Amino acid sequence: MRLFIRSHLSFLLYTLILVLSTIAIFWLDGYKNHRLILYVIFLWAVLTILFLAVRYIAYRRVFERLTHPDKIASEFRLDEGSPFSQSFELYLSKQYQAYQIDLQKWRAKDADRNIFINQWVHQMKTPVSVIELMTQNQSDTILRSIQEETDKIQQGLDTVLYTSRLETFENDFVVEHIDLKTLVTEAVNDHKRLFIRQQLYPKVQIEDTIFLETDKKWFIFLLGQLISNAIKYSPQKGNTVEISAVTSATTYELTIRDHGIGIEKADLPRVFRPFFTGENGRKFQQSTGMGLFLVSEICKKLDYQLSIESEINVGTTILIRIPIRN
Amino acid sequence: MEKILIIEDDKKIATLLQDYLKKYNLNAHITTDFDDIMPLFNELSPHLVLLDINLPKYDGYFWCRKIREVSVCPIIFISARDGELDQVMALENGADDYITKPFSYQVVIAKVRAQLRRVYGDFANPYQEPEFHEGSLSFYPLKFTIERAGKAIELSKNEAKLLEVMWRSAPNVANRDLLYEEIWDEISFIDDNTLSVNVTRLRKKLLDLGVKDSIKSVRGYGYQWVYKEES
Repeated sequence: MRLFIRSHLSFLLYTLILVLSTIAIFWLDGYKNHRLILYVIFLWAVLTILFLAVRYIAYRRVFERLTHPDKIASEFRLDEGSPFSQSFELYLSKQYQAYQIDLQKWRAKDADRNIFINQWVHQMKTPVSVIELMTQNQSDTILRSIQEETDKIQQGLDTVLYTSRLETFENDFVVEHIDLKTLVTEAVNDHKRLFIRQQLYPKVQIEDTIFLETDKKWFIFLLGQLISNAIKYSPQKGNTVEISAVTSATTYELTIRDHGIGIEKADLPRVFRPFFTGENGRKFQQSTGMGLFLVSEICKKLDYQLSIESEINVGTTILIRIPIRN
Repeated sequence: MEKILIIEDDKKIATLLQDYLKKYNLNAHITTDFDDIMPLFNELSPHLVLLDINLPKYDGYFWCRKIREVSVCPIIFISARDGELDQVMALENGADDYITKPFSYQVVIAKVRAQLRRVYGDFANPYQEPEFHEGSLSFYPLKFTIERAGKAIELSKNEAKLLEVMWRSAPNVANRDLLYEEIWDEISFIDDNTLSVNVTRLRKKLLDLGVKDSIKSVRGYGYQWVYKEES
């Protein structure tokens, strides 16, 4: 309504000038009748209001649309209102269709790409399995080193798979009642070879009584990312990676602590951003910057609170607060 | 000998599995015709089937149902797919277990043996456990026993595992990390000392049998089995 009036201000001004000039001509011509002047003004006013009312009814849809530009048009009224209103709706619906077709095209492309990535990762798992089997339980230095690289490929493939799964997280989420110690133990065992190779030792202090309602696969993946980070950034041999949990009033507090190189103060607020590798990424050259980003995304989806503390050459501590549900 | 049928279209994986199962005295066969595996299945009537999901023409679920029409033998799926749904589908279609790629030999052999034991019983198992012999010294890794000149000594599980890896690797040096992996405790985890403590104990037990200096330390690399028969 306001927009309608504002856009018709020029018209009102125009009528006003017409009225005044008509009256002025009569007045200057010597015809000075107050009642006639009042009558003319009244007539003009009624006619103007009538005109505006008819116009408003005919153009109502257009002005409604224009006052709510943030609403996406999905319903069109092609047989209502004035011809202008109708063609305006037609124009909108054409634009909307074109945009929808474009969007569908991109959606289909995105879905195709996701399927392709998924299939590709699974296809790559077969050659990795072959290399894995051929190098397993072998003492040969070259084979050990090949196995090390295979581990990295496998970790990379997993990260790709989980990144693309993150978009359909809800479809891929199976809640189980499961104890935290088992989850942590499994995640640590997945990184057994990495621990041994770096000569680091896991220290797990979690009571058997802590049970969670969570998805096993996602939880272990999340822990795995944090454990592999802890190992990767602890180049000094003989150290430990400590994983412990305490129960507070409303949360379980799970900490993963390493005694590694730590993270620069300046980098700390940015570590959960995608593709952020920071100073350590430059030193180690194996960071994709995706690990901690994925961890923070998964924590968000699971409603866990994630925080990080770190000091250079002292180590890094990751704290996850898991709300206790009854 | 127990017969195992491996239905896997990746030839290398199939062959590697076959070789490994043979080490454990299991008679493993490979499928080559994926249009119809039933003739081979009927001819062989295997005790256990290892079945891949992604196969040419029909998938593993299909063959699993086909096999179930004629046999109740254990079927273990091997697949790169690790979704919950795939595992549920596999079990719904009549599988007994599920292994995801990439897998380790240990997992395969453990699951195969568990299924065989469950279905055919421990005593009905005619297949032989692996044995190692050298001169007058005999080692039975699954019975945790080492024997020489009529005298037998029991080993702990870790000692048996270590000895098996060293013996298999000989004359090469068994890598320290590899030995570590073997005795890594899946539940309570271990520290640096465990390996050397276990090796020391193993040496002592060997000495009790009159075997001297048969485990050589190679600094920074690992241990070497250098048994020499003495009279």
